[in-house]
Order: sequence, then C-alpha cells, then structure tokens
Amino acid sequence: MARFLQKDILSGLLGLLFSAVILFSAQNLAFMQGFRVGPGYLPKIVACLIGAVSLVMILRGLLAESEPAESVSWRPLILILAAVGTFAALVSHLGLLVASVSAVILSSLADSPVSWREAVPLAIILPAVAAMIFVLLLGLPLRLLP
Amino acid sequence: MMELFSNLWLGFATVMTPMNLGLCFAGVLLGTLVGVLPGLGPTATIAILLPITFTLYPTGAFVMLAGIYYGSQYGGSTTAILINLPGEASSVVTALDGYQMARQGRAGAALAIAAIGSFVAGTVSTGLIAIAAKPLTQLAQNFGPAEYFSLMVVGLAAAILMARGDVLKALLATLFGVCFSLVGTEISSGTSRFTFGITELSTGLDFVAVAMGLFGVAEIIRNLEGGLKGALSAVPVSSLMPSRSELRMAAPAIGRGTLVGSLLGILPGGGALLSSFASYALEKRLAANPSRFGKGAIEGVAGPESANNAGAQTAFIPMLTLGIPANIVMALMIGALMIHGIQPGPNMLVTQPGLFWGVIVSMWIGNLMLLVINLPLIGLWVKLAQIRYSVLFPIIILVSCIGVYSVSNSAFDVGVMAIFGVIGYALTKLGFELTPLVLGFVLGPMMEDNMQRALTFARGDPTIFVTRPISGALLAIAAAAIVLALLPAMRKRREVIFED
Repeated sequence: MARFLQKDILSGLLGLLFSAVILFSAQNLAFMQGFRVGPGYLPKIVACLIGAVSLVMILRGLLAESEPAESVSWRPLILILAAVGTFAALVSHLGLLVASVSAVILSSLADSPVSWREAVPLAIILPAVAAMIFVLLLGLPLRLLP
Repeated sequence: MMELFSNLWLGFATVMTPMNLGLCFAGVLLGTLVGVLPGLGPTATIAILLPITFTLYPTGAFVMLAGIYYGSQYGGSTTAILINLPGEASSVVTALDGYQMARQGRAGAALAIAAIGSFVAGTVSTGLIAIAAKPLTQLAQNFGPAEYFSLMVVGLAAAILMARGDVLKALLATLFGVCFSLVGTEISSGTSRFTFGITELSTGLDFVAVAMGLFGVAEIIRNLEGGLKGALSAVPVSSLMPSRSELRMAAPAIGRGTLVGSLLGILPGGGALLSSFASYALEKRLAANPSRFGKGAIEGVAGPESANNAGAQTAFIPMLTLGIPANIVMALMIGALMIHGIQPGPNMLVTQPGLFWGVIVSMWIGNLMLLVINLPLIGLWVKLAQIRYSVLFPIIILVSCIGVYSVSNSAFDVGVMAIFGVIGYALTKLGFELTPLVLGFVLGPMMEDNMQRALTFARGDPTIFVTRPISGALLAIAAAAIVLALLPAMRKRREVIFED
C-alpha cells in the first residue's frame, strides 16, 4: 500500500479521476456541429490530454520511486474550511456581524495551541472594525444584522 | 520619436489628476503595508486587495492595482532584508545577502540600495515598454484567431518551461486550469457545461473567488501547518546612506540587473522570480571574489532587486500589447480588467489610449512614490512585519470572505473560494505549482473563442493552425519549449537555477 502513496501516483490518479468526470459530463456536448466547432470540442480534447499525462505520471511513479506523499494537517484544513464555509452560509441571512464573529472564532481554532487571549478580543474587535470600514466607510451594500 | 513623447504626454495628462495620483499613492502604500505582513507575497496581496478596486472607474482601478503590485514587491524585500523573511520567492535571493548586511549594521544601506536599484530599473523598463508597445501592437493587429490561439499555446508552454518543479505536473495544472475555466454557459452555442445542475455555476467560476482561494486560503492552511509563528526579531536600522564604496560596487550591478530583468520579464512565466535568480547568479559569476556572496555582498542585493523590479515591469509588455499574461500577477490584472469590461490586448491601444499610456506612466510614478514614502516609513514596516501570525491570519480570512462576498453579494462565491482553498492545498501537497493553473484558467476562454473562430473559418479543418505560417511557427516554438522542458539536461539546469 505504501508503495502507492507517492506524489506521482496520487497526482496521476487525481488526474484520471478529473478527466473521467469531464468526459462523463461532456458526453452529451456536441464535438462538431456541421462545420462549426461544438461546445464539447475543447473539453473532450483537454480531458484526453489530462488522461494521457496522468497515465504517464502513474507509469513514472511505478517505474521509479517518487517522493512519498506528505501527511495532511487536518486541523487547519477543516477549521479554515469551516470558517469560510460558515461565513458563506450565514452572511446573507444573519448579516455581516454574526458571520464575521463565527469566521474569526473558527479560524482562530485552526491554530494550535489556540490562544484565547488573542482570539476572544479579535472576535469582538474585528467584526466591528470590518463593519465600520466596509459598510460605513466604503459604503458596500451589506446587511449588518439579522 | 515625437510620437513617443506625445504618447507619454497623454499618459502623464491621464495620471496627473489628483484622484489618480491619490489612488496610485494609496495603492503603493496599501501594497507595501500588506506586502510586509508575514506570509503575504505580491500574489496574495493583490488577490486580497482586488475587490477594493472594483468600485473604481477602470483607469483609477488599474493605476491603483499597479501601485499595489510595486508596493507589495518592495514590502517583500524590506522584510527579506530586516528579518530574513522573504515575502515571496523573488525576494529569497535578496534575503541571502541583504540580511547579512543588516546583521553587520548596514541594514539602512541595503534598503536604500534596494530602493534606488528598483527605481532605476523601473525607469528604464518603463521606457522600454513605451518603445515596444507600438510595434508589437501593430504586429498583433495582423493576427487572426489562429495566430492568437497559437500565441496563447506558446504562453502556456513557456509558463510550463519556466515553472519550478516537475514539468508534467505543470502541464497537468495548466490543463486543470483550462477545464475550470470552461464551467458555465458556452458563449457561441449557449449550452451550459459542467454546471451539475447548480444555477450559480451558469455564469462560470468567479475569477476573484478562485484566485483568493488558491492564493489566500490555501496559503494560510499551509502556513498554519508549519513555521511562521510568533514574533520575529528585526535588526535595527541605523543610517540609511550607503557609503561611497558601496555605491560604487552597487551601480554596475544595478545596470546589469536592469538588463537581465528587462529581458527575462518579457518571457511568459519569467517575470520577477526568474529575473532575480538569474541576476544573482550573474553577479556571483562576475565577482572578483565570489566567496563574499552570502556574507553581505552589496551586489547580491543591488542586482536581484533591480532585476526583479525590471522584470515585474516588462511583464506588462505581453499583457498590454498581446493580452497574454506573462506571470500570475498579470493574470490577476487581466482578470481585474475584464471585470471592468476591458479586454486587454492590441485593441486597447486604439480604443483606450488614455488608459494604456496612463498605466505605463503610472508605473514610473508609482516607483517614484515608493522611493519617497518607503524610506521614511521603514520603522512602521518593521513593526508591521513583526505582527504575530496567530493574530494576522483570522484577519486575512475575514477580509478575504468580505472581499469575495462584496464583489457581487454572492455567498456562493465565498463557498467557491473555500473549495479552491482546499484544491490549492491538496495540489501543493502533491507537488503542483499553482501558477500554471491560474494562467490556464485565465487563458482558457480566450483560447476556446479563438480556436472556434479559426476552425469555423477553415470549415472545421484543424490543419489551419499548422499551415498558416505565423501560427505554425508559434506552435513549433511551443512544441520545442515542452520538449526542451522534458529533456533531462534542461531539467538539471532548472534545478540549478532555482537552488543555487
């Protein structure tokens, strides 16, 4: 198993998956429409190129050992994703202030160890400053409160 | 010659309004301010500040963006010299000798030489752009869709050749970028592609959201997983004046750096990064005593700093005249222009002469402003550079979220940014460079448009790309670039250039 956890092989597999998704969802797009190029022309060509390059990369990984895959830091990945994701989910309905507080708190948690003495003041000050700069000063039409 | 001056005069007339000068100043200041913050290079700085310029009129927006670009570049070298923390790759070589000079009490001299070198290089390359603009634009106006398509292929191929790391991965990243750009409604037939039933995707993936995800969010995740924590200690700055002997050693290095940078900047994928590495290698080779390098040789600061500024400027040439981005920052600029409804390229000179020459002149003015405002403000920059990353990154996240949301009040775009943050993180983990991906993303729709028009003209016969002489020659160059990149000898050279 460890043999397959190389950067080259994983990249190649990712590329194959990508090219398969494109070819599958482009199957109903016309390649040519008479003498005109159809909307499926470029996607299909590019997908085939991706597939070919990916295969070469997998072969290269199998023939000559490439760098082993790095481990993923799940904590920052998930928490930063959550911070941006909840901002997106909240901002339209609950307004900028609530969305900002949640984004700041969740992203502060991504750092280890979490420094609450920095995170709590940030979560209070930043949304207020952001509201002042973006809404009052720059005049962006953003909803502030629920 | 007279025409050149009248054109530059038009540029001055455009820029010299209080509003434009103010925006240029604001851009330079903001760019430096964000650029000195740890973990934020020019690309991230521009991506984050991009939304601010959308509320402006096109000329003002572009003048400000250009200012942000130089400011952030200069901010990067300031932190490289004072705290050995290069803001981005092109300042890495500046840190080698600049930080050593700072430790020997010559921080002020190093900063001053960097600023002077950048200004000289900026002046020369602004002149070069003004001279090259007209003939190149005329050449490009003879291009048909087939030539344009092939030219863009050359651009992408050169970006792959110049990319750091694995060639196959750079190729793959470019193709990924092209695919991402195809999401949405296809223009000529109105068919929706790769939207997976999501209505918001019918207008395509938002460029700002993609760029900020790849360069803002992904960067933060990477920074959090290792290093960049706590405050860094800075070297105190004493006198700013370089000594006479330092000036004598630096002057020729500035000249050579300007030359090297101007040439390499024009090449697609070259720009600031390659320029500074090449200049450092050149200075080291020419030096009477190469062992001084790495121990505080002033040529090692003067050459690369001039080169990266010259390269950063001449990178505007292919962008302004042909509409092709030579590097990632230019790709961001093209994206910004298109949001303002301006298609960069040869027609810009005809349809928007004020904007075109105004931008060129504003580059020079931006450099002058850098020289004036930065040296007195060094104390402030040092303080900013020492902000703890644990305080900084929640701010960047919040500003990015609000920035992307404010472009079109779309929460969906914020989600796109999050997803591209994950994509960017995953790809860098696998050893991909993100630059070719963004170039592919920006060039994708233009390539498809030109390809379709060329093929319609040729009644579907794809040999048109090879049989038209200019197009064929361009494709041959592109093929040669890819083959060259794959040759083992070239691969070794690339490693040497970047690791030396």
